[in-house]
Amino acid sequence: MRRPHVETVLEDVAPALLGYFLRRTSDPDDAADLVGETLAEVWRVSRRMPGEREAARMWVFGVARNTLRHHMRGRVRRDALVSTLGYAIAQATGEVSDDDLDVRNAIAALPVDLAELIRLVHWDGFTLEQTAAHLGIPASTARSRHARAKELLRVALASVVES
Amino acid sequence: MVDLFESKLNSAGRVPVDDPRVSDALRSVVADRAAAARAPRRRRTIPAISIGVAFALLGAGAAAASQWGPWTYVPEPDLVISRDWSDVHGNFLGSCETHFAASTLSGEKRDAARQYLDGLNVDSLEPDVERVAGGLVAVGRGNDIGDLVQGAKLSDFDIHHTGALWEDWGNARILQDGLQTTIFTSLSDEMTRAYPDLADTLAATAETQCTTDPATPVAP
Repeated sequence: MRRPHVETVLEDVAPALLGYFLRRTSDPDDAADLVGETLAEVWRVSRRMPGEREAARMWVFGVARNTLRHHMRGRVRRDALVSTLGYAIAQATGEVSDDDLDVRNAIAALPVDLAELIRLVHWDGFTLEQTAAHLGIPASTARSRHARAKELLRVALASVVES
Repeated sequence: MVDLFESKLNSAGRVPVDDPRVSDALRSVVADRAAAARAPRRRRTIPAISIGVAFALLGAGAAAASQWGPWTYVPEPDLVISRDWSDVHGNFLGSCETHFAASTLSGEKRDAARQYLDGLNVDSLEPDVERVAGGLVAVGRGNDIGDLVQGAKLSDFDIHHTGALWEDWGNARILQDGLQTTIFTSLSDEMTRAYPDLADTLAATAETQCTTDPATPVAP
């Protein structure tokens, strides 16, 4: 049956999806909005969800990527449940350590394509092959960009790592 | 083996998704969206009754994709929707252009509709699958749905057509119609949220031209 498959995939992927948006937006409410929008969009086009579990997960992140790309603040539906989620995130978000802040800033200072690749691999837990598929680039390109990005970060964060 | 550098890199991305309050709230959103999808769909026939549609099919050789005929019904569109269509196997089906106007609105509401349409990334939108299935049934090719929408089956839908079969509707036109429905539904949802009084009155006008000529010349 199609429906249980979609439900199972979404229940499974939801925390990672929220993490994906939290790492790419500065406002918990935006992340909550984006999760709600993405889930609604996935259901809308759920007939296209691949049957294989991992492929389905990656497909959901493809929808998430498009949702994020087209997100325009104030244009989304923010219902009570989404507001509650945004509030819960805000309450649960603690102070970011100086080290973490340095790393985040160093990643943000990378060229956009390298920064996103680092986030996908090191924060969202994608393999390099999955990251390549998600970004629509060859795996070999993802590998070389990943190496280059890490090299740049090693230099930028030398003092942080040594501490 | 994860060295100190990688470890710092990984830990900088920590977010509170495992917090019990966040998990609970997230589960509620997931369940709510699933329930919304489970609810009987308000048959989205709004476009069928609310969009005035004009349509011209340009036969092969009649016009290049970039040289459409005069736009008679919607000379001043709020949105122009251009798309080249292929089936799921990659076979080119045709190119279509739709001129779309929220023509029944005026003043502030028309401005709001235009602003919303301006913000749409039409290239990222997909045709309404139910509408595509309906179009195919109406032209007598319902079983072709799997060629136009990956994984779709006619039995997924409860669609019946009465009366004569529609003529001159190619598959590109049907997909364009589905896309137009997606856009109108989206606009309708947005506008009725902002202006509840529009719930039963919002209408639009659309004029579509299609050609089955390849968008780029085929090498001899």
